Amino acid sequence: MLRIDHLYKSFGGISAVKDFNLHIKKGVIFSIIGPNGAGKTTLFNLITGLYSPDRGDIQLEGRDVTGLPPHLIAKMGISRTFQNIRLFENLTVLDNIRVGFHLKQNYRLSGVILNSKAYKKEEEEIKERTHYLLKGFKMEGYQDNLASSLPYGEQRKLEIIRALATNPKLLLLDEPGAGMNHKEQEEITNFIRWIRDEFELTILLIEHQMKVVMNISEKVIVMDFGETIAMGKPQEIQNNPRVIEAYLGGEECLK
Amino acid sequence: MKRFDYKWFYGTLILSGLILWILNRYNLAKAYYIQIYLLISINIILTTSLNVINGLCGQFSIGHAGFMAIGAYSSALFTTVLPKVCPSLSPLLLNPLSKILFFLFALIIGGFVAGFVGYLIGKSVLRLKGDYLAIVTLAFGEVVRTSIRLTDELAGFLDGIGWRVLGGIVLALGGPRGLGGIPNLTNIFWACGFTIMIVALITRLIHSSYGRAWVAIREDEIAASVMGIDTTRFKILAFSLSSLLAGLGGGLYAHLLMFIHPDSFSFIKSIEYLVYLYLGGMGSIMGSIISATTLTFLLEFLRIIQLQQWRLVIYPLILIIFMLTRPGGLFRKDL
Amino acid sequence: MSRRRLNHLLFIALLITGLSFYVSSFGLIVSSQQIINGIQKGSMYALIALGYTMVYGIIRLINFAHGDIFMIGVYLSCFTGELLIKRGISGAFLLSMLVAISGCVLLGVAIERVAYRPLRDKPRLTMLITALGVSLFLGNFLSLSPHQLPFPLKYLVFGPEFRSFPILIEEKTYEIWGVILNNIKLINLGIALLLMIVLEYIVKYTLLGKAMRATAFNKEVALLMGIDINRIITFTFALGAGLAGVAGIMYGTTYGVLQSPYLGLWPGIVAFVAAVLGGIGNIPGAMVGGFLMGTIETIATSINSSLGYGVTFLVLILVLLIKPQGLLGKPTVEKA
Repeated sequence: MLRIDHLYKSFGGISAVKDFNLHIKKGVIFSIIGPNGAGKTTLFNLITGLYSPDRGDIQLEGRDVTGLPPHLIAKMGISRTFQNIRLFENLTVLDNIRVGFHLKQNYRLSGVILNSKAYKKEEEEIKERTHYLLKGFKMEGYQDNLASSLPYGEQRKLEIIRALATNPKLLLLDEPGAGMNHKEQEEITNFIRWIRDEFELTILLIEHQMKVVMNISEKVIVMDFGETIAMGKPQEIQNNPRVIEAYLGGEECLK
Repeated sequence: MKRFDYKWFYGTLILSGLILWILNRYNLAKAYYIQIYLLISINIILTTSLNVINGLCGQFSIGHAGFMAIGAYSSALFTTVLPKVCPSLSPLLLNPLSKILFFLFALIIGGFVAGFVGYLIGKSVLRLKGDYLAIVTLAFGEVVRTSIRLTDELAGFLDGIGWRVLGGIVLALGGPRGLGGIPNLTNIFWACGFTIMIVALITRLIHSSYGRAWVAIREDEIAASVMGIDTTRFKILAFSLSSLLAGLGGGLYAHLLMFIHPDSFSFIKSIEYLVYLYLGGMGSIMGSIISATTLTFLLEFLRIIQLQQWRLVIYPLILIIFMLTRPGGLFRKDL
Repeated sequence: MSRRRLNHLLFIALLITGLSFYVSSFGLIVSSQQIINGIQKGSMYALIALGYTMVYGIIRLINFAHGDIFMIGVYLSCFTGELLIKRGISGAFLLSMLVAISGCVLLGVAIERVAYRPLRDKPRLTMLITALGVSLFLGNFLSLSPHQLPFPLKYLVFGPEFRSFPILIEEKTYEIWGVILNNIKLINLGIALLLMIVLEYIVKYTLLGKAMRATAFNKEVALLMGIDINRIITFTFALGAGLAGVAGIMYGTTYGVLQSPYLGLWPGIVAFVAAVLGGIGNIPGAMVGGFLMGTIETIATSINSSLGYGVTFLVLILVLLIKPQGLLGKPTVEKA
């Protein structure tokens, strides 16, 4: 469903992503790993349109999305979370999710001004869907809290829910397990798997916690200095000498 | 979140307007009190309109007086300059019904001219962020003021190329002499009506996906764009709407003071509304309403005790003290 | 990349066309006279612009109050000069300059301490608004007239009236090929150039200057390197305010008249535009920008007095829309 061919991006002469290729099938959980500065987040920014690539193609279900502005890419069905959580901090949990439903909205400015039926109906619908999501993720208790006041783990969860509200086909998760303890990591692993099944998603994630990666992913790609150095099933990656080399002293890290 | 009920505000505004009107009919209230009422309404309109682009959308625009000037001059062009240049229009201002329609028309034209200029400016300027945007909007306000001061030169030029009528119209705008003789058409009815309409419009927008998109942009532009919000479009929309409402307010202002001068729309005027906005709290419409009311009264109070020159000292002091102690303003955000 | 270069060329071409158009329509003598006047005025703008640019470089703040610090420099040198001349003390020029510099430095540092430091961790716009407030407060407060004020405040304000600046240097004029020069302007230009060289030396070669550049580049890392950030920021404000003080006495000696305490507003705005034109945060940029703005403004004013006013803002808007990083600044990559 996602096809990336020969993608290049450099900043001031330093290549952040070099000849990157990736084909993902529908419904797969795919992980990208690699040391810091390997170009993983840059890749996410390229896919979601925050950066435009120097060269190369990105296709979603056969439609070219290369270099489109972020809001159009979101419309085509790609959503994401961020490494350093980017919630709308001064908004309530409820409103954060409602912003996610922006693409659902069809009413016009005149509808709002005249308080038209279509407008009221759609707003009601958005409210309902928001409550449905909150209930499904057991976050009703927080709905009127400001996003910035939530505990860290709940903020990560809220960011994922907000991304789900845009009704994506492909979800990009940037380090969903960062800063979590073992128990929380296990929870987030189950959580990701569950949303994949429940919302029929394809998931691409960046992760440093090897436990999460090995548990969850069906396929893993390893990047270093913008280049792909290995790709395959988790077990194959674990034993690949180039991967171990890239992670200095990485043996422990991989086990 | 508990939302303030704006019905209380509408009620108070209508009721106090009605009482003033009746008292004035029986000569119990001085025209001065009505003047204050009108000034408060206009200040509320301008502060809430500034709140749209600054408080809701988070784009730091500080040239509001420029749009106000455009609205004031465009509407005065219809009610004052045109009847002067082509006298066949003046009967329109004698018949009460046609006067009302003509004034409404002039106000709307003023608003739309300001809104259109806002749209054009916003289109080119809104890709700048933070202090750069602040500087450009400030410069824009000053360019508007300078342009109005230069209308005599433009009139001379138009005369020179043979466009006498247009030259006459432009000359009548007054340039550095100011534009006087504007009919006193702003009354309680218009001020109250427009204030309620504008506040209702903005509070309604806040709770729609338009308002949420603006606030999302204010909170985190990148995250907003990933949510599918066309950030450029919504920023331009906020900027144009804010300019349009400022233009409307400017039109009312012109027809209240009956004399406008390019320098009445200087940077100081923009700052005045920024003070109103910050005191009330960025993003809080009720805050804007309350602070615009309080500060207008404060100003009148200073005038009564003969200290009006302190106004220009007190505004910046309020601004500094608020920034240092309570940067969020008095009221919390609506969304 | 190519677009950047194109814009650069476009700007230079615009400048050259404008200049040659001006020279051809007003004649060589008139235009070189105006250009020389412009360069002299530009040296004053450059000194003020340096203060804007250094402060912006180090804490990313457009210090709106800087124009008012300059204004206070003008008034301080005026008062000191009057006093010294009344007493018949020689060396009035240098002494008034020293007083102006020290007064401005004290004020600049005090403003930073009271109004900006507490806000350093807050959103950047908070500090910007405070700066606006400080600027308006200084201008408006000092313009109040003294006889309307109670006892202690009476002696703090300057009042809104005109004042004439004492004659600190006897004016002599020279004529070379029809172009008129005078000694005051030449002395001022010399002082400005000397100070720019000294500043360049301080920033490039002294330990303090290196610490300044390190802080501007990355505050956290500078802190880890053992640099006392607060001291460096104070030093930067002091340096900028001192230069504004010198610009203040230059203003007084050149124009001979102080309109009101709002007089800092306009030079402050032009100098700010100069800093943006050169690339804000960039020290040589501020110097180049200052000289350019001085020349552009003088020429435009000589054509029509309102034009000089508008053209400054026009330059600002054009620079920000076409080349926001300025002539010498580097483009920044925004982090997603």
